Amino acid sequence: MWTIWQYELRMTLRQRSFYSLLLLWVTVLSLLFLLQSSTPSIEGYTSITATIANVALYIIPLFMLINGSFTVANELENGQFRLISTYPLSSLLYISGKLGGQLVAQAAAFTMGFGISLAIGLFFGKGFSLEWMWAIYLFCIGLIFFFLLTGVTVGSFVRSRWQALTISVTIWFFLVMIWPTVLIGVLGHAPYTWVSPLMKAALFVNPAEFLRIILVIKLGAGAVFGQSYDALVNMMEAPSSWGVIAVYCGGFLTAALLLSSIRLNRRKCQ
Amino acid sequence: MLKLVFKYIFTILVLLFLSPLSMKAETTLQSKVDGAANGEKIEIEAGVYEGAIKIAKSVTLSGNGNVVLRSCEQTPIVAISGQAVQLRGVTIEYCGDESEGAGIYISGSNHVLEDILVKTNHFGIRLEDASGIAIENSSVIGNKNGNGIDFWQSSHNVVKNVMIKNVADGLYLERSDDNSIISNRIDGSRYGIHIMYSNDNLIEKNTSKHNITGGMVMEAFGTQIRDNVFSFNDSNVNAQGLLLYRAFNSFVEGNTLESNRLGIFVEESEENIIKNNKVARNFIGFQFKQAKKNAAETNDFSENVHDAQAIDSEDNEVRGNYWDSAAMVDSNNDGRSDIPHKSDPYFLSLTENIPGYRLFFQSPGLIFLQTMLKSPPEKLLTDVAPLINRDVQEINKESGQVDMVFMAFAMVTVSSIIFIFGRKRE
Amino acid sequence: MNKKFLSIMMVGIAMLIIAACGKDEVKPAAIKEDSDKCEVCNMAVVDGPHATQIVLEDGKSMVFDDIGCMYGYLDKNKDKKFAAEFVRDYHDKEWIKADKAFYVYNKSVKTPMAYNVVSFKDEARAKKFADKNDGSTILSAEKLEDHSWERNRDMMMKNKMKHHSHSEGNKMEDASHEKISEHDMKEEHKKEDMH
Repeated sequence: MWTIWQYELRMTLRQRSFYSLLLLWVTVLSLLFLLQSSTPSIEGYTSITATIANVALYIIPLFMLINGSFTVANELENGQFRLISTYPLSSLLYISGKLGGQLVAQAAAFTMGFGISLAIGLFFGKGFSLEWMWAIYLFCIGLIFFFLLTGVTVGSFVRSRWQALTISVTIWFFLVMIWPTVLIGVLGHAPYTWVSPLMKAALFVNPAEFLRIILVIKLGAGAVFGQSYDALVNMMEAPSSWGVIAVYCGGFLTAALLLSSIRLNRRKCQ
Repeated sequence: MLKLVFKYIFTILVLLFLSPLSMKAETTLQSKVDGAANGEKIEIEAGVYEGAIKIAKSVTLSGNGNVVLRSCEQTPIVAISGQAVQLRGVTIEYCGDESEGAGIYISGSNHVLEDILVKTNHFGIRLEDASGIAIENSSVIGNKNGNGIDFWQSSHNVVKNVMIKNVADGLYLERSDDNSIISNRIDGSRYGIHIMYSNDNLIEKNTSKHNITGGMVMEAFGTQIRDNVFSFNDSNVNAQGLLLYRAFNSFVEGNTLESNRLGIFVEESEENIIKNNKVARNFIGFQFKQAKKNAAETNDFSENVHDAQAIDSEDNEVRGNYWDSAAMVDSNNDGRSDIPHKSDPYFLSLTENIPGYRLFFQSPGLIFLQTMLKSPPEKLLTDVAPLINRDVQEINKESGQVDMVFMAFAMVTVSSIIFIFGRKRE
Repeated sequence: MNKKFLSIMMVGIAMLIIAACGKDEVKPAAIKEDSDKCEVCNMAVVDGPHATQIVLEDGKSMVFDDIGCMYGYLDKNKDKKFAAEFVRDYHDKEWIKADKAFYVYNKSVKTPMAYNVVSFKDEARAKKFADKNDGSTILSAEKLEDHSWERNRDMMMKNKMKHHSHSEGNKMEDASHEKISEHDMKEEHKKEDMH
């Protein structure tokens, strides 16, 4: 597994296109941080925070889905996977290694971009609150984690890179762009009293929404969601919420890895 | 035998502890008041006085040193009536369980209360049929059970420089007109300043923070609300900076509404003027609901997550405000943008009937949906001529961002190390 | 991901069917003091005898801090489908259906929005309260429909006058008194304008 992990990391880091992603993070984040020169310090849940969160929600899931699915689909397509299959290596370890390598590489690129943008912001006299910075940083890292994971899973199911791209974009569009539209459409047929419980359940299905809600709550703005979510907000405000988040991440990770390794095992047999 | 001696010593000790410290208010203070002539000044010796007193004639009572009046009875600790009573420099501790109980009860006219500290389990100070009262430089600390200063049918009174904490409503006015509420500070309470069925009151330079609602004006005419700070009223699901509900002819000017769940909410209210307020960093800046003929001018709306929304509201004059989210073009250099600033009420109307959808607040998908389903123009809250520039407030640059510089440096270093080693290893 | 969504939808549909079949009696929800607010006047609802509640046919429950607010809502939203309206007994706070309750209107009873109407679960209790408090009118649920819900300052004026005749009037009070009558006129005027 560690060989795969190292190999994946090295291959990613040696691609030139990888550094264009780094450049993208620096550009986008710096621009966002420098937005609104009139504000001395960025903190709390304000329009700037909401804008940054939404831009992150637009870009990160899409890129990570494509990256994740391509890295697996590529090897399936060019025959490398068949080669690896001849080694005594389980699919679970293979997929974990791939994911781990990608995760480290992408997180490093994002961290670098975030660090440089912070420095640029500070250089231009912007202030940041430490709490705010951590909230946004962890939010983005969370997005990278969940959508790389989803991407790798998608990758193990597709036949070609082309298919990987289509499915990635579809998932992104579904979870980020039309999620509320779909839910409003479906819940329109549900009895009134079921709307809030179903919304809560749906929250756990969509990691993008899950992370967004956590971000808003952790920034102390959970009250904006209203009475229906008062209990949820109180729960997520407490320190024990990190346990809930950890369980959620772990569950998602296990489910996705198992799913894709089972699928890859079947492919090996073919 | 030994046991008995111990018991004896213990009893004496208890008596020693209690007796010199606390005195009966009835015998000491009340008799002094009863014996005093009109206009006389009475000095209260330092100490703790148990029980309640009544003051019905024009005397001045002032505490000399640390004077504490304490009572857990039903009756208020100090009941003031008549005219021109003055009370200064005392601490009142009301520990009773009577839900209408209060530290100080005031009726009559022209009394003065100064340097008073009221600690109360229910109401702090109650005014009933009182006028010309001045309450200054005092504090009320409660237990969330009753109002800090409660007005009932009391007009022409002044409350100034009073700090109120942890009560139900900081200042509650019902059927009370022409009062001046100036430079008070209310924290950690239900509603900071709450006005009901009361007219022509002046609310000026108060600070109301960390309450459920900063200022609440209901069923009132001609309220003047100037230069107050209503901020950080953000933790309750119904929290807001200022609410005008069935308020008419109010004048809201020069206030700061920052970091609230909802900055200003105007419902079923008419002919109010909202001018030169700073509405910033709220989750929702401004909201009209069934509000008519109000004017919102030259306010500064910045960094609000959602700047404004309105439903079922007509004939409101919204112009010349500064919106940091507005697209601005000024071809004729009049300082006003040529592009009207519009706020879509889609989210508000969606969540009005089904509050469950409020979880979509500022969700990227909802913004996408909102742009697709544009509301008809007559339903939008439109500022016809948004302000291009605003007076830049004093920017207090935060020095000592050492921790942030360190963080940035650490992030770059760590990721560089990963890059270098990740590439190298063969 | 899609599979998960599908299963959620299935669960949703199943719930729909269950909800449609089991139609049990409408029950009032408990008052949550820290987050409930009156549907009409935006005030926090205290878990006390003045709290009232409407349950719509779709199961949505709305709370009010004063009986008057609830009747105001009923009046304004005649197109909505109401399953039940609840008020509380003044003494033991038990929820009772609004059409089965007995009411007492008394100008000197303080209620959150000053509509001055309180509710009781039986006539005896209402009568007892009315006997104790001068100036009370007992209203049955049918009579309450015709109640004017007046709470303008007319009545307050009368109260004030009563107070004045008892106390020695001073100039200050007289001045404020005049001011009020002026306002009342304004308010009256306003009402005419609106109609």
